[in-house]
Formats: sequence, C-alpha cells, structure tokens
Amino acid sequence: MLNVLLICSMGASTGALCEKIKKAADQQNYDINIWATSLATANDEIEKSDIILLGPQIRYMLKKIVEAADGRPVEAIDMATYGMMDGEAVFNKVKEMALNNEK
Amino acid sequence: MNKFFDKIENKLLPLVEIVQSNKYLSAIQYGMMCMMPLMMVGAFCCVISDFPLEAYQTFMAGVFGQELWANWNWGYINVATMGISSIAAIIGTTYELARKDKVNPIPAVIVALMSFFLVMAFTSDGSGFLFSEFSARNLFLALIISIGTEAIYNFCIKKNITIKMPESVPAFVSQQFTAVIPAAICCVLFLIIRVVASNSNFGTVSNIIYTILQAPLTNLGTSFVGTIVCTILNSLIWMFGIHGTNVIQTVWTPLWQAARDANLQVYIQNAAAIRPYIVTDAFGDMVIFLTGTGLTLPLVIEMIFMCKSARIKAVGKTALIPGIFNVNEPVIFGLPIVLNPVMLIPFVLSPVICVSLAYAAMNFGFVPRPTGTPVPWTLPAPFGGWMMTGSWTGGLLQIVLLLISGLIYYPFIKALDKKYKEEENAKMNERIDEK
Repeated sequence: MLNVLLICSMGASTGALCEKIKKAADQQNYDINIWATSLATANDEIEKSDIILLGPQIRYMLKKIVEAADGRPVEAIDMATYGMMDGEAVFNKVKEMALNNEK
Repeated sequence: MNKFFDKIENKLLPLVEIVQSNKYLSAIQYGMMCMMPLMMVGAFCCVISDFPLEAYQTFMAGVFGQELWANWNWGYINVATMGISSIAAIIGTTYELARKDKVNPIPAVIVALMSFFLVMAFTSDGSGFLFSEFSARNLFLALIISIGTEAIYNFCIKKNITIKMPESVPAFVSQQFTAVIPAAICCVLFLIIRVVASNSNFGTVSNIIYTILQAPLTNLGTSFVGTIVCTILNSLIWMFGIHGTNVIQTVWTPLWQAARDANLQVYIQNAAAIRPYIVTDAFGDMVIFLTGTGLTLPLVIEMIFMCKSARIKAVGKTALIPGIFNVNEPVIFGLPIVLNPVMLIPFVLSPVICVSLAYAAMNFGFVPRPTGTPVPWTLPAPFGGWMMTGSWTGGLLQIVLLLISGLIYYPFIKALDKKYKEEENAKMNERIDEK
C-alpha cells in the first residue's frame, strides 16, 4: 500500500484535502494510506511515508523537506488545485510521482 | 504588476525559509506543539468547571460536594495540565534540537530537565517546588535551558568528551555513560547559576529571566503596535501564498503563551479582576486569524450569495465549511487572494481595523480581556470569543468584527465578480461562435 503524507502548517487544511484524495483513489480502485501533519511535527512522520506532498503555503520549505525525505519523492501542490480542493487532480499527481519513482 | 509581485516573491521566499528552517525557532515551535494536548485538556476542564451559570454551579456543587467541585479542576487538573506547560516545552524543544543535531535525544532531554529542576524555586517552607515554576510563567527560562543544555550535550558528544567503555561492553550499557559528562557539566553550571541568583535581588532564576526578558518582550510583542505589525505582516506574507500565520507564530507564540499564563494567574485568584494582557494566543486565534487570515468568512458568504460569476460561487462553496472552523486556504488559493491586486486592500485593511477595534474594546473595558484559558483555534465564532473572554460580549465582539469585515470586502468582491463574469461571458460567446 502506498503511504502518502501531506504537510501543511497546521495539518488542518490539508486534512480536508486528504479525504478528497482518498475518495478519488477509492473511485479508481487504489488502496492508499494518506494522512496530514503539521510542519513542526513533519520529522515524526516522514519516515512512515512513501510520497510527500506540501501545501502551497509552505512551498518555501520544499528544499528542507527534500533533504529530510531521504530520496522519497516530494512535491508542492499547485495553488489552484489546492484552492479548489481538487482531490482527483492531486491523486493523479501522486500516481505520476509513484510511477516515476519506480523507474 | 505581476513583475513587481514576482520580484518581491523571489526576495520573500528565502527570507521566510530562513525564519522557518532556523534550527532554534523550529525546535521551539515543536516544543510549543508538545504543550497543545495539555492545553486542550486543561481548557476543556476549565469550561466544565467554570461554566457561567449559577444553577449549574449550585447543582454540581450539590452532587460532588463543595470542596471537590471547587478543587477538581483548579486544584488538581489545572496544575498538572497547563501548570506543567514549561516542562512539556522543555522536553519537546530539547528533543527536536537533539534530533536535528543527530544525537540521541532522550539523554539530552533528561539533562535539560535536570538543569531546569536545579534552578526551580522552593515553597517558603522548603517542602517542595513552587507550583507556579512549571507553568508558562517560566516558558522563556525553559526554552533558554533547552537550548543551552542541548548545546553542551551536543558539543560533548561531537567532541567525544564522554566516558568511554571498552569495546566488549554492550552498546546499551555504554550509551548510558555517554551522558554522564554533559550531565555533570550542566549540574555544576546550573548550581552556580542558582546560587548566584539566590544571592541577587531577584531571589530566583525564574524571577531574573521573567523580569529582564520575558515580561519586557511580552509587553512589546503584545502591545498595540506590536500586534498591528504582526497583523499586517501576516496578511502581506499570505498575499504571496505563503503561510503567514505559521511564520508569525514562530516568533509570537512564546510571547502570546507567556501573556496567556500571566492572565490565567490573575484569573485563578479573582475571576473578576482586570487581567494584564489584551493580546494572548487566544486573541490571535479568535481575532487576528478569525475564520482565517483576513477574516474571510463574510467574504465567502458574499461570494456564495451575492456574486454572479460561476467560478466565485464554486470557490465560495468549497471555502464555507472550513471557514467556519477558521481555516481559509480554499478562498486564499481558490479565489485567489494570492497575488490578486484587487483583494490586497481589504485583505490587509479588514484585519487591521478589526484588530484595532477588538483591542480598543478590551482596553476600554467593553469586553473583558482573555481569561488565559486556552481556546482550540478551530472553535467557530461566536463560541471562540465567548470561551476566550469568559463572557458573551466576547462572542458578540466576534460577530461585530465579522460584519465589519463583510462591509470592507463587499465593494472589492463585487468589482472582482464583475470582471470574472465578463471573462466567463466572453468565453461563453467564443464557444457559441465556434459552434
């Protein structure tokens, strides 16, 4: 099972997005484990994840998270997708990241 | 305009990164997060114990007995939850610092705790530590000790100033000895500090830090000017789609927590007394960030019910429920407010005016100042304001602020709606033409 970690400042707004991504994954018959955390506690969670997504509001931390991620794919969600809470678009991104990672 | 925004963004991103990824600031932030469970449990108990209804109080006192009802929260739970917030902060901060330095965190935490207890004041008869030493009154001291002892610990480990065991000794045994030298150094150091402090006019180490550091910094950061600076910075950073609140809180949370505790100490003694600080962490969550930065919930309601553009309506619907719970990324990124010159003015103006009004209302006594009970930041208005002040006028204040914010946004969202609607119509016409 794919473990997807979303990081935002408090874990609240990405928390809402999490459910939408999970729903999109279910609809496409993928079983994923997805959860949200805050920036301050990110170090606790990174180890348990396979793929990491950042909320656009903390995209300036991308470099630091990439360092901490130890080779795991990390990307920031783009603002428009995030604003519309578009779970499907984010899930397609996750699939793409997972595929690229396998190569 | 876009070029101008790009230029600022390119300057701003690295600047924010410096603040946020600073080792000490981010470790302190982790420490503050560790206080949260204690704060929330403590706050919940305060609500149950102090619910302002005479009949309820009499009834509960009848069921549980006067003494137990008076003491269960303030006498027992409070001193073990909010009352030990400095200990939670010291554990969290030291742990995160050690982890960042890639040394074994638990021994570092233990050395830090030892050092903290070494400088704690006793009760006047010497039978134990003073309760108040462990609350957020000593937050700054706790953070200073965290940083100091972790630096000593890290230095000793990295420079191999440790007791070395022969190779044949199992690793878990020899690990226990690595912390002995840093612990001994801290032990002597903090003993000296304690003795020097007790011979000074201050009497205790906590008094020194409180008087010369914590109180002045808190007064400055929570003053009217300090609060307006924080409010403007918050909105401006968000304008670039960067989490301004997170950046602001990195700096302001310790000050707001210290202010909160100072208020709580007064509130415990006398619930009716005027409390020292207006701006605490609850004021931040329930006024400055009310329904999210920019007080955007009224804007969202206008978007749904008063706008014609399909795009604006759709964003409004996505943003409504999170907005009620003080989360507003959907409207910030969806409308978007980010890099949108039309929304810049109300997005800065509305919080500045609302914060000024709330500050004035509390300053002149129309609304009581925060009691110091922690308030969960997702609590919707008007309950958040009521819980913050312990008075219904706090809830009323929030409603008034939201109405004012709605008035400020109205002309701007109408202008944006007109522009979007025209764009949408133009696109529609194009499509019809194609057919």
